[in-house]
Amino acid sequence: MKPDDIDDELRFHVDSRVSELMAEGWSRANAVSRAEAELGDRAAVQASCQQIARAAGQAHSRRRYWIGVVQDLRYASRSLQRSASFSVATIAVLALGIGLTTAVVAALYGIIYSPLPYPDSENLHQVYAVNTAKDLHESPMSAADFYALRDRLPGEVRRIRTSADTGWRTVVGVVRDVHHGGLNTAEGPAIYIPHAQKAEAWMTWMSMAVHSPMTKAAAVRAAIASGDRNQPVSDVMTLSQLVSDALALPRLAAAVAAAVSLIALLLAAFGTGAVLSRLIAARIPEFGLRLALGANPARLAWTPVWEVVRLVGAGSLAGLLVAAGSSRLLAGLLHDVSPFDGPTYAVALAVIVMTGVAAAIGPAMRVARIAPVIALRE
Amino acid sequence: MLRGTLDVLILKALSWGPQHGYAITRWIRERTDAEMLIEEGALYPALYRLEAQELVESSWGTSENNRRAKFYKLTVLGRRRLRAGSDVWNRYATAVARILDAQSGPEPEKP
Repeated sequence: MKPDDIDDELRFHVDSRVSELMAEGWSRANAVSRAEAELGDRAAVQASCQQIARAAGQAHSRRRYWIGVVQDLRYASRSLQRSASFSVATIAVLALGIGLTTAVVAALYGIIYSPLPYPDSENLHQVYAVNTAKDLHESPMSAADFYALRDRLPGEVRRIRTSADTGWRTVVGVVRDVHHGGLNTAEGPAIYIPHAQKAEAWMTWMSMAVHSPMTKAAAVRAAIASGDRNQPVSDVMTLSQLVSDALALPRLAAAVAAAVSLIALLLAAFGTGAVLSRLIAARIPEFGLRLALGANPARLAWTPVWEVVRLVGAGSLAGLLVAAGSSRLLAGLLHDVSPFDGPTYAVALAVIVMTGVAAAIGPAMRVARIAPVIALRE
Repeated sequence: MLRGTLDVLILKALSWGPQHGYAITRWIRERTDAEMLIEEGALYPALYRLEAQELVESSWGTSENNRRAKFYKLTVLGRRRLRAGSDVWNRYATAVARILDAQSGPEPEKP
């Protein structure tokens, strides 16, 4: 409402009245003063009208604002209702696929890239010792003894005994944890005792092979036979074989899980892509209409991409939660797989991003190629 | 003049078609044979109020003497208000007229 509107209006009123009075024979001066008198306080009328118009304008824009808000809310809730199940399903499928893949990549990483859970496992050696002091030949010497001897303690603990009945033993060294029972079996406190001091009904020997490990086996058998001809020798194998046997079951489980997860991720990717392109296809008339109304085609083509990014983002978040949970489970099954493995999650995120991009490219290209006329006719 | 009377009169004046403010004044003056003197200045705030209530809407046009004038037009809401207002005013006027035409006064209170 322009302020001079009411001015013009009142001037028109007075002029009309003046010309009417003059037509009745009034002089111009008399007619003007009569018309002004009939109108009353002109300034007050103007102020009053302007105030009403201003208040009405404010109320109007307030109402328009709230109508807009309500319309936005209704549109949002409608589109949420329309695609709620789709969104939930997509996020769930992505979460499953991504989560399982992450967990399995973590597992495979643990198995393939660190085959033996020891530092420098390629340089692992087997040793046996000859105890010349006790005149014992080829008495077993554990790796523990070897390291213990190598890294002697600085002397605080010199002696140890397991109970009051047994005599004191001199500590010659301390070793790091050794997994005797299995790679993921927790070991209690243990001490190494020279075989000569405490003989067992059976014993395991570890011997270092200088050349081929299995030709050494014959030498070991021969050495044992020279001591006791009736001593049976069984289960001769290399250390890596032993570890491999220990890992056989988890390895199989991980392979199966990997296959299942890869299938899950593929299904998630293809399923999401297919459903998204169906969804975009159903909205092609809408996009056509928006193009015909002057929407920016480049920006319109980004619409499905953003929708996909939103969905994949939500799916990734849910998926990483699933991954954290399931790799915690796998950590119990597999040795040396921590629930939060940095490189693993990086790989999984790369897979997520590539899946999302692959799923978004198709719909985006379709929207970019829409011809408004054809889209409207469809 | 009673409050609200002017509104009904304006709505009635517009019920035949769009009019500018001066035509409404002239019409009311002629209809009432100048018996009901309205202060013409009051007409315009009333029109603005009616417009704010969306009972009328305005647009600039050309008057009969080829001048730029603001025309007011009844909205659907305004037409509905006119019907309701007319009923109220007719009943009111009838009631007042019946009382003023009465031949006997109120019964005196019995002691």
